[in-house]
Amino acid sequence: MKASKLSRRMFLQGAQGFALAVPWLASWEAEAAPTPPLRFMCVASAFGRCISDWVGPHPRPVTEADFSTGALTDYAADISPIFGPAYDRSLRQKMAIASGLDLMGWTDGHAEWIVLTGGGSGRGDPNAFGESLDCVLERSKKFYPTTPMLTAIRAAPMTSSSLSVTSRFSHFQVVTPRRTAAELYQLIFDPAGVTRRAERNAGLARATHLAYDDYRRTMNSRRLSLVDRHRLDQYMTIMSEIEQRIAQTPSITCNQLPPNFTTSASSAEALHDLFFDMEVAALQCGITKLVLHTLKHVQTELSAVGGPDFHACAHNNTRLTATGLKFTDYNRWTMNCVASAMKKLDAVIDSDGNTLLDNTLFFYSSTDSSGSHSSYDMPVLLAGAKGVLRTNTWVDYRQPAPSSNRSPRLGRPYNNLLVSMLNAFGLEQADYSIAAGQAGFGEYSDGLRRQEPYYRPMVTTAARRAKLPHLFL
Amino acid sequence: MRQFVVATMFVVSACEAKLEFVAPPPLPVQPEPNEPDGCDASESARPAVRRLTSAEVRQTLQGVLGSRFDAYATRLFALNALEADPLMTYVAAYGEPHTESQVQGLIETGYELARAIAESPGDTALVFDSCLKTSTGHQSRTCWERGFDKGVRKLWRRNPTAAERDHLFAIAAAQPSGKQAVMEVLLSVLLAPDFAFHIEEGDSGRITDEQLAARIAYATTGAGPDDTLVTLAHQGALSDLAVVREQTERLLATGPGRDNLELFVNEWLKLDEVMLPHPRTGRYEPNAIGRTQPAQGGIGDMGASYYNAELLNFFNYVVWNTGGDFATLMTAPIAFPAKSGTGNKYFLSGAQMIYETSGYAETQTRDALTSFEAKGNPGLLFRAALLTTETVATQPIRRGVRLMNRFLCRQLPSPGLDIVIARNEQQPLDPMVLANHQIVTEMTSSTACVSCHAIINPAGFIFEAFDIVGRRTSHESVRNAETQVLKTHPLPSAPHHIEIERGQTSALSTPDELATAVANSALARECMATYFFHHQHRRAPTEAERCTVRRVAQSMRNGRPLKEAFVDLIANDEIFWRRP
Repeated sequence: MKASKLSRRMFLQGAQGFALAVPWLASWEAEAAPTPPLRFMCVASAFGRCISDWVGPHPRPVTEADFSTGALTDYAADISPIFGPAYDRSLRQKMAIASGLDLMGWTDGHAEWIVLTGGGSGRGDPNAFGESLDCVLERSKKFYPTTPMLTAIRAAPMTSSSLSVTSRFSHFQVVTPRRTAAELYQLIFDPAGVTRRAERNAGLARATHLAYDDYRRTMNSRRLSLVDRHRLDQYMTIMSEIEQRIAQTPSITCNQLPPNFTTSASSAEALHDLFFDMEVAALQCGITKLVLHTLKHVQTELSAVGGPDFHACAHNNTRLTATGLKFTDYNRWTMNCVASAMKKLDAVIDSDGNTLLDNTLFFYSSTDSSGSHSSYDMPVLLAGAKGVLRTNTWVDYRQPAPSSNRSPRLGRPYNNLLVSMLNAFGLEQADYSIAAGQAGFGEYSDGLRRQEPYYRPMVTTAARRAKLPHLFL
Repeated sequence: MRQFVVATMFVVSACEAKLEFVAPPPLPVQPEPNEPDGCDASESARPAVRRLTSAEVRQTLQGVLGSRFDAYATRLFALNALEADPLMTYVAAYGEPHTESQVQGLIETGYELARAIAESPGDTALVFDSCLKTSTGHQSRTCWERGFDKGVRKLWRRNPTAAERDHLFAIAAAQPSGKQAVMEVLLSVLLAPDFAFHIEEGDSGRITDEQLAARIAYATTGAGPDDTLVTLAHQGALSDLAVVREQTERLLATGPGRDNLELFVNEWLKLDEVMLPHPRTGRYEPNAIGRTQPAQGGIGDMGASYYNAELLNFFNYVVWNTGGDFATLMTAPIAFPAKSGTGNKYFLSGAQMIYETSGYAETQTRDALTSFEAKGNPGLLFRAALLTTETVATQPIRRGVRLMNRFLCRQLPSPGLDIVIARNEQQPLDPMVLANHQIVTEMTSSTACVSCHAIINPAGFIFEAFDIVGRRTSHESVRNAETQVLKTHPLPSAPHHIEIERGQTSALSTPDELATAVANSALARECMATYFFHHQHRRAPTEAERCTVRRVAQSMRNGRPLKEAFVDLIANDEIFWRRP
């Protein structure tokens, strides 16, 4: 065991040297011109949206067996009061709106991570888990064949709401997002910050190397039982792998920000634009392939810029708030921000001549459906992902009519959307399973809904693993 | 061979001896069916190397850094490249095998802490103050010795050898500045196996006083030895069991000792899995617990931490305030309701409503507890934290498994995910027709399920006397998605036949009877003691250790106060020895 350990380590150290050299071989990069990877960007808001103003009646809907559909460009004017003029023809041709995706997991409407987990509990269900889709991608060798500088950028301007949960440390936890523009700037672009990170990585690699030698000394020089040696040996193996990974982390300097970029903003939308600029630049530079952005505003957080209380507004739906704004106004403000992010992506030409939006699976949803703790018919917008996503389309998965006066029109499990997105990145069940025997992805912890006769065919093992019809090619 | 003979002699003597701390006469060991003599003399290997848990890492650092730790911790966690707090997040992830995240967490913690300390010159008095006074101070050997004697000794729980001191000094002297020297030396110390692992090297037999001090310290406080223990170890005074016992009592009663005992309760009862009531629950019966009337407050606003705090308050009160025994813990009809949080507009305590107490306290902390009579919820088994569920129906299977697994140490095999999924995909039974217990019986009637569920279900059905928020009820209510009551069912018919002792089934009709039966159960006492052993050692007891655990458990039957029983479980003759 000892001999193989040493030779393996020597091999890994040699591989590190090679991996460190690769980023500096500019001629290789120029000659290889690899196909740009598919990135993932998720923007999520809170409080849902006003359903009645979400998508206007489609002028020429086509009804299929499982859904209705139509082209977004068929709308002569705005798609709806919420999707206003910002959603022009060029943007519509690169996006899709889905209706009728219902959460199957427990939620109180305020767990932001439901957008990427399908439920807010992470517990209580044999098929539940404490892991959001981004964390699965972050760890996936299919998504990241090589170590990125940053596995993900998680931003939540003016709020601490996170879209991301993980059980990477064997304990369910919310992953903390970056709250301020200065913090994000320092993380990605500040040359001093980049240097610090490089120093830190070098320090960690050095420290791990030193510690490895200490462990080896302990193994070799002390009177320990075979069981104890095995225990230390396993620890050392992991240390060696960590050392290798740290050493392989590239240090990329990115200068793709607009001229005269500052990290201060005079309004909420300007602040989100600042973040979007940095996030798009990071995707463009290759610092990361994964961006999460929380669009959440409540009165306390926006009071400095005179914002309304969107939370109360959402609960009261169409009732006017003290500021005179309606829930629909908040929704339009949100979707204008979303459009801004998509247009920034679409303005960047990637190495294959397509735009960055074409090479990004862009996903928008919210923590709630209707603003009143409902989780039927979640708001969903997808864009980009050329060749993967069916664009210029509206698709409605809801049943034609409700089963009773009190029931909503039921649709399909939202979790099938999560599975479809994982499939889009080449991940199959074995790649995204967290527990043995897991069926599909996402929470199915709402027992009442799971046992609803309508949904029963949709929660079988096979159905949980299926991707959504029509929306993905 | 010699070791085997010595070990065998020890095991026999340990099992037969009357332990010094036991006040009542020695009790006969109740043999298990597969253990004819109750204490098998064959000894299994006991690991001498164990990785510290994250809580122990935190406590050890806090013990060395004192109040400065908080400042470092804040910065450490803010800077963590994983965007998460590795110390906080693998609290529950002890034991083997190691995982990549745990190892990486320790490496990053060590790195960030070393850097934070090195960059805070005012605080380097910690260990290396004189090394930074001049530009070449860090190259002077004498300035490091104090650090080696105090800081490194505490972090490693042993005195560094001369060779190790040479090695650390060589690292320091090679650095261009004092700051860099402090950083590199601390990094070497914090990443060394002697910090991350308990290592008891050497042949089997009596352990050294230094190792003994570490055992006492980690078993009581989860931290390294304090100055008193270090001094006693240095004086060779720890060879006396009475001294060990005295130190154990002292440390258990400290803040870290009580924290550690609470951590044990968390692990024993898996409080991190406590489920919040379904959000819709908060809205049912608005006049009782509804959020629809803010002045009345609601259970929907109580977080899991609130439920857990009530349970821990109950535990602390019984152990520390009343000096209660195991029976008191299992039967005391009291509760500790308090406001569910300052600034919460739903200000009335949900716990008061659950336990139907006559009032509630403004605050309940373990140093200032006010008990209220709660006749409906006797003892630990019937704390709201262990009864709530996020579903709209109660979960008798979950409740029954908890009783069997956590209170009676009955290991029941998992049904397997495939069976659970297949069961969920069956045609659901109509709760308007069948009561919850009838549905559970039907769902678990297949041959694959029935052998275990014959044990689980009766245990779970006795808990049907409590609704989904943990409140005593006389009937089962069927609710729709809006939590309106559509129908009521009678509770399952009694008695329920539950195996409370090995091979002995009791017919129990009420929660109070169950509480009393568990309070009198030798199996239950031994089960709690075994979980406490596991909390200390992060492994199951060997056969010889099981003897000790059982003996202490038996002493609890005679009204031995729990705080003394916990001391017994640490400070006994086993603590002096290391097995082959």
